[in-house]
Amino acid sequence: MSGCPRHEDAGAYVLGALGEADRDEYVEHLRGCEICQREVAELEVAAQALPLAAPQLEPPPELRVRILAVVREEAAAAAAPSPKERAKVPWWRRPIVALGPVPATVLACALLALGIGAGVLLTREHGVTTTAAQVSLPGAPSAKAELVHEDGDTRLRLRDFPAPAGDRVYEVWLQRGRRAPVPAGTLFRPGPDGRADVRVGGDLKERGVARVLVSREPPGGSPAPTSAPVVVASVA
Amino acid sequence: MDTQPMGLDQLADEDLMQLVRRGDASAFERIYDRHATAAFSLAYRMTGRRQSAEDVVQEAFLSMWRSGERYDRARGSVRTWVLGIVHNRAIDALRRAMVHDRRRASDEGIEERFEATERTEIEVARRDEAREVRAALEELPAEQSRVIELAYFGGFSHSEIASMLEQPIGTVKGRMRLGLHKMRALLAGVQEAPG
Repeated sequence: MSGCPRHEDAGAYVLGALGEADRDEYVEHLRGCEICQREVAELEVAAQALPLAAPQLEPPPELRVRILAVVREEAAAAAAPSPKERAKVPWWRRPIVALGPVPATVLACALLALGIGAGVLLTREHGVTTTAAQVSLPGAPSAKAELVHEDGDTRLRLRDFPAPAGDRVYEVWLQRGRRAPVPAGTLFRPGPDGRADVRVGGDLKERGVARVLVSREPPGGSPAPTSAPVVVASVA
Repeated sequence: MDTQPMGLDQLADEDLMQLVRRGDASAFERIYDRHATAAFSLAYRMTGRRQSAEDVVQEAFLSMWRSGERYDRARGSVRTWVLGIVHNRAIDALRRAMVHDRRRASDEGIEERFEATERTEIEVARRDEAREVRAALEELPAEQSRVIELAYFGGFSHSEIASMLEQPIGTVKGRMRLGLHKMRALLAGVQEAPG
């Protein structure tokens, strides 16, 4: 195509390869040049197909869990369910925060009845805060969990934890106030020695997280807890 | 508020985006599932590193979630919009991290480990379409495909490519334009897989 001294720029423009100043100038030129408008429209067809020339690779499943955890958390924050909506769901099928005040108290009592400390601050030294978590695993009386906060990073440290049955996994949840827990984007199984040290996130307190929960879930995790939590850790 | 998941799978991307705009996480999940493979593949092709590709895809999808209103169906398909955002984010990442020289040097074997599987008819159609696009790019004269790849996947500007190849800027721009015209002709008849 000819008739416009700038038509050679069309290819670089649709590839995003014009420098910033050249691009701004060309965009201005495009407004008044029909030849270049036609050229750009034609070349865009090819440029828009280029991403497909990349070998197609499956994204890791953890990436999906991470992204959708944030999305669900933000969606839940924007539209918290009304008490009326909560009441439609039988309590035993509700996510743990949707239980309402009474069942939540029952849950807390049940956990305490197991003789486990509730969010006890163990140590706070050299900038490291360690908090004991409630553990509800009747078949594993020596199982312990701690929430460790250090250098703006929070980790969950588990000891003597049994592997979940079959191919189920442990999933970590974050709970703000009494809202529904949202996935932290972390799935794990403890090692053969019953230990696990998993990253939960940055400064949870700053993000308004009150509690970190762990429940047993199907492989790949769940959008909302499908079983009672086996760990409840208060954020100090 | 989320709609019932049943039925969302039947909606076109453009209709799902209307729900995303209203904060529907389930609709967004469908958009992610439909386009994550193409997005991750593009990001990995551009950054050459798995971690960088994951970061780019995460940034891109969260930005789409938070600014769904910016999608304008008059300007093209959702897939074009998604991949355009991924492309821009990957260029930002390349410029930020200066990882050009590390491209392809790490994550050896990722293609084998993570090669996308073909699960549905739409995915099979997309894989066929991808093969056609790769074939068209390979059919171009080497000097044309090189400048196109350096610009699109490498994030280099026409003047950077001209210095790199020791060619006049006009020659580089001409090769880009001619190469794209030829690709367009080769792709004529290749239809985009449905959303």
